[in-house]
Amino acid sequence: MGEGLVLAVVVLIVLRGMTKGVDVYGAFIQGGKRGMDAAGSLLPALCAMTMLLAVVNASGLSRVLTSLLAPLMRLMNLPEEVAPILLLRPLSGSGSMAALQEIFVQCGVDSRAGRIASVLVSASETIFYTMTVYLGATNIRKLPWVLPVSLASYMVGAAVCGAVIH
Amino acid sequence: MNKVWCVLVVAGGVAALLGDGGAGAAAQLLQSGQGAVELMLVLAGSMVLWSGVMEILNRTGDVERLGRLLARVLSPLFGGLKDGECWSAMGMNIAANVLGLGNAATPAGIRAAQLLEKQGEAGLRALAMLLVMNNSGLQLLPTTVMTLRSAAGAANPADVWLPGLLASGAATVCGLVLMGLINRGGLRRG
Repeated sequence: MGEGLVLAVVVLIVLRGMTKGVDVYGAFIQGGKRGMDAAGSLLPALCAMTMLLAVVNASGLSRVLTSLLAPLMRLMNLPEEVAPILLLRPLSGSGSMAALQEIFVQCGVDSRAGRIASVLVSASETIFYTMTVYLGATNIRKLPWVLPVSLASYMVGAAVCGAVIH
Repeated sequence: MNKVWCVLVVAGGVAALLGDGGAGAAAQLLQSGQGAVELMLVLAGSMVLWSGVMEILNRTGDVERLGRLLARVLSPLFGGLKDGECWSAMGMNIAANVLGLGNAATPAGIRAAQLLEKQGEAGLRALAMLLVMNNSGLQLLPTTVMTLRSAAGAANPADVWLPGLLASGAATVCGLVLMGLINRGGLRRG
């Protein structure tokens, strides 16, 4: 179902552009350039995160963190392997991509851990970063409740993940 | 992020040095740059492709239309706001986020935050709601993760689509209900 959807979305968008008189090809090229710039400027952050994960994994620190989180993971019916993702996702988009790749290599992309990790990354947001960017543009220093409510909702989403993926 | 990163690198590094003299960690560290480049190449392809496709959608004007529709539908959640410009920025931000147009979502969100700041208490409540919505990560087509799964050889890269929608949908509903209750009780009391 999902694969058909991807193709259908692309076809629909191209058709819609044609009927609206959009320079479809030109739009694609211009949008693509912006995507390329964004991807290029992602590299330093990605590298900082792959480096971090290398040190944390090789030193055994990740095993310590994982065992600390184990009771929470069991409660939400999530496999232990995705603990790094659960921790990193609200903090860093690059970090969660790097950790997701790591899980694909370690556990397999179609394993339960691989699928749960995929959903955890795709169905959530870099909460701390979003808050910094949006509030940073204003003089509001603190907006009470937004962070706890966002983190609680994130945990609810994670628990739903554990419940629906078998 | 700065503090978290520093603490983890130092703690991990020291633990590795004390453990096996750092041999294993050093080997992995030296390879991590290459890993980042490989990951970026996968992501870059996906970002170029989908930024391109989404720019077509952007130019049809449908994103603005969806934004206006969302602003009308969601208006009970952001009660007490009169300024029309706020509404269009908020609607645009939510629509762009749900469609996965990061390039359009961030400027609209920043503009909404700046406009809402001038609207007093009602504006702050609306901004809190908008941030919670943004933070719940609802996205109709998670293209980046699908690409990573495809590159990793998944049998069906898109099989995470429905569970993802359920998870982020649940997070969104939870966030809206909680924030709605808090807003009704008065944000400042928190």
